Amino acid sequence: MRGMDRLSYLPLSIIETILCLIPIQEAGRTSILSREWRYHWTKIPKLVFEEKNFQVSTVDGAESSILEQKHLEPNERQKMDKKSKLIYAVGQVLLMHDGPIHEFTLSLLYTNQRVKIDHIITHLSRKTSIKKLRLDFAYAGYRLPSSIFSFRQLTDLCLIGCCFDHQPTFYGYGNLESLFLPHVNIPTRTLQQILSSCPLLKTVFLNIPGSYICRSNGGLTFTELFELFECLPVFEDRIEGRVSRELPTPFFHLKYLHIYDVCFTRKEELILAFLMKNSPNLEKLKILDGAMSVTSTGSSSRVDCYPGIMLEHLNELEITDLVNNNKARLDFVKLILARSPVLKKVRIVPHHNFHHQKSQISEIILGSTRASPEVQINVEDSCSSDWLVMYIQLLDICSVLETGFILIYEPKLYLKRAKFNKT
Amino acid sequence: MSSSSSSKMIELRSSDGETFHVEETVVLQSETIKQMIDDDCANAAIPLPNVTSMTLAKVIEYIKKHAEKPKDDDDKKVAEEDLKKFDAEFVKVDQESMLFDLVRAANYLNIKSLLDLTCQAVADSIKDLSVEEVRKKFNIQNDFTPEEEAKVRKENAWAFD
Repeated sequence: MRGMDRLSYLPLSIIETILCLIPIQEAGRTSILSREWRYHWTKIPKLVFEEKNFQVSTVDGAESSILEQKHLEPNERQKMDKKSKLIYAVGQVLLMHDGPIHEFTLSLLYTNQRVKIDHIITHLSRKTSIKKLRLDFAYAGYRLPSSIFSFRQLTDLCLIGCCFDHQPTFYGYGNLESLFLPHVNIPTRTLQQILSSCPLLKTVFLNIPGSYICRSNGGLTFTELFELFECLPVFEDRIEGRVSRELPTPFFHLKYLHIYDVCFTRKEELILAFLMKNSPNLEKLKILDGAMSVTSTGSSSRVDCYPGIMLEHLNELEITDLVNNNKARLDFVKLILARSPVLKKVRIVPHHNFHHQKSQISEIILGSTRASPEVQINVEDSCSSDWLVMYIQLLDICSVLETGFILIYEPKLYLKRAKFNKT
Repeated sequence: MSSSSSSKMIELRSSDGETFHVEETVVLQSETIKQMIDDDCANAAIPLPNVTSMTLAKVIEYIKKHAEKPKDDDDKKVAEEDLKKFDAEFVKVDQESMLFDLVRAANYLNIKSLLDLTCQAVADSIKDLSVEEVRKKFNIQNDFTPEEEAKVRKENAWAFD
């Protein structure tokens, strides 16, 4: 048994799995192990090209391939820089590849190969097998070709350092579950279009500098962010009384909702109510009050205002940096208490400017009607390092994004703003 | 509901005829066996003609460890760490042949986490080796003529940069 070639005798599917777990160049090199191995690598379903892991030898070492001997000037490839070689490798692999591709990653720090990348993306967009696509151009601002809208079977899409052009005839990613768009330049209407046409979305990561969305200063507020949902037909008339209407497809997968910069204006309150109404499986709700940075008009959500809201699964509510300058917030808390039969934990942390109202706040909340007999209510001392904690929590959230639907908006901006507040 | 006393026992028989008794809840991690139980084919000992007793004992050690349920959230974190350590140790087998036997067994029994773990271990053992080193390590016979090998090498020049 000792002399047996155990690797070659593994089932083919296992060999492919193993080849997916080593860097793609090493997988390619297995082609010369033996005749049997020559084409194994061409079947792997996961292709990862990352500049940082791509190996290039010193210029003299590389031999030219048969293809380039025929079609390119001799030694042309040897003269290429690392980025060009990487793109060249992508082209070669796609030419040789045989079978479905489920996952494709291309990561370049910046690029002068835009046209070639366009071709690669367009080529890939015609493969219906691709489920996960990750394109990372750091801060390069690579302008995506319109074929990016043609990946119909995607479940995971991650785009970094890209720009979108608006595509009026986009019908949505019907299977998309996870959307990561950090450092992406995207027209607001395109983002609206994407968010409203992906019914299975569980996770959204947005970290879009305001200026990128054609806003003059400071980025989007909570209201503006949710205006992104405006294209949803029902949401177009956000008139009081109609809020209790439902979306054609509610956010069934929405379990954890973190919202930043809520000012509890009349408009925002309607949006919140709308979100509550359409999130039947919501389990955790965390709100960071943003009113200290904005002049808020405020309003109130009397419990009898929103008959349609029932949070059957909500077990945790947290509001931090609560600004108790009008009735709106506490009315909102009362509404949630009254409509959440399995609520277990409520945590309220007043903004440090409202620290003196702590006992008053807890008195009001403890005196209100609760649908859940077991709920534990804590009104805590404001914590001066809250911003930092919040930011660190955000990073944690990013690492466990599998779990739900999270909307994150501009944590860095808050960090700056927080510092500004304290000086 | 404490598991050990109440759970039904399933009997497994290895290729060399040894029998093992494992709790049903533990053995359900194997999709293959789960299917057999669902199809009501598990009343007698389940024969596993592709798995030796030595390999099966290792597999059972793995699924037993992975069946332990943490009591609460604090316990969960500790248990996760513990499991990571266990996995790392588990694939450090004395003989390489055992690792390959485990890959095959995990594949046959359809235990996804064990298959992922063992495939990763094989991949790690290949990573960073030269072609010649891989051939030597796994006793792969190079049946290319030198000319053919040079041709394939050129065909895939992108990989040999």
